[in-house]
Amino acid sequence: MKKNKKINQAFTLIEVLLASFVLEIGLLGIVGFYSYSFQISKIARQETTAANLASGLLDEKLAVSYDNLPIGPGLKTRYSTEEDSPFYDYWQKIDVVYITTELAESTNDTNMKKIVVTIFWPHDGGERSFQTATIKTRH
Amino acid sequence: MKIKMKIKKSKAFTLVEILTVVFLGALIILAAWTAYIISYKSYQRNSQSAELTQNGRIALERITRDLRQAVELVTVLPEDPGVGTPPAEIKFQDGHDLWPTTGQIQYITYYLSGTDLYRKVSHFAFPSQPAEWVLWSTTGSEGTLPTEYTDLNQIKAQNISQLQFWGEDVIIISFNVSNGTSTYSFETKVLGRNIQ
Repeated sequence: MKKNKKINQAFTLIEVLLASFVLEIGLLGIVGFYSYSFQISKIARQETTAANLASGLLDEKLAVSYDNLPIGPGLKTRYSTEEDSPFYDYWQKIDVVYITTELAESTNDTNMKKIVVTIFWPHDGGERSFQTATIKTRH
Repeated sequence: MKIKMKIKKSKAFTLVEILTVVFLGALIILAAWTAYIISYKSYQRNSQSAELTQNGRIALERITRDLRQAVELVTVLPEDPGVGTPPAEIKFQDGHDLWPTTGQIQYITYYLSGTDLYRKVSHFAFPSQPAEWVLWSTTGSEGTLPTEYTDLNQIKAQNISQLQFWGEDVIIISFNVSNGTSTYSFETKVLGRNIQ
């Protein structure tokens, strides 16, 4: 009789709390993954946008003649200053340095300029960036 | 004594117990259903967004690839989008050697039909000499311009709207991709390497 009673004993409060706590952690993890997957696809889209803006700026600089391309770090400015532009939140920075044939940076005119374009955009309280570069030579 | 014990052992659930179980079961099923709906919607939203991004990426990639090699622009582009209406299509002389003929003068046109982006390959010739492909601006014996013949016309991307081209040396390509609920803007600039 005594043994039988023990088998039918219910869960204790601690056991129930512990079990529901573990379940909750698991559920929260799953919910968290939804927002994470959404974030991932958003970042992918923003990177596509930034990559296209960056390659556009590279082409714009390639259109400038070698001598008219000023050396030095560029200013970080908005891609578009118009507030209704879809790219208002994207920032650009264009740096130009001399490089040698071994691709090392140089302070002397090596007849080769490396153009580095970086695009920044705000994301989740922080900032993300995309960088691309090309080389322009004196003809 | 014996009978009493038997009764106690095979006691059925009370109404309250069954109600509680049914209620809890319903709660669990509802929670599972909600979780399923949320995950399904999230999946749909993500795949639609990825689909849009993909269309935009492909459209820009195809146009820039062809435009970089362009030899001559046929479409006249405004210098600034604020000055005049930027055209929604662009025609230029192809800088690649393309199938089915190599080394012949061919033209590529990107244009929108509804929200579909098409890439048309064509050539110009005078009807009297269809085998001789000429520049679009060639004038015939009586000042006539050659006729355009389409060689290939393919859809390249969908859900595109507000396609615009402008710029002088560097050509700016701009458009939106939209499926009604979300709209994303794309823009890039292209320097035609072979344009004189």
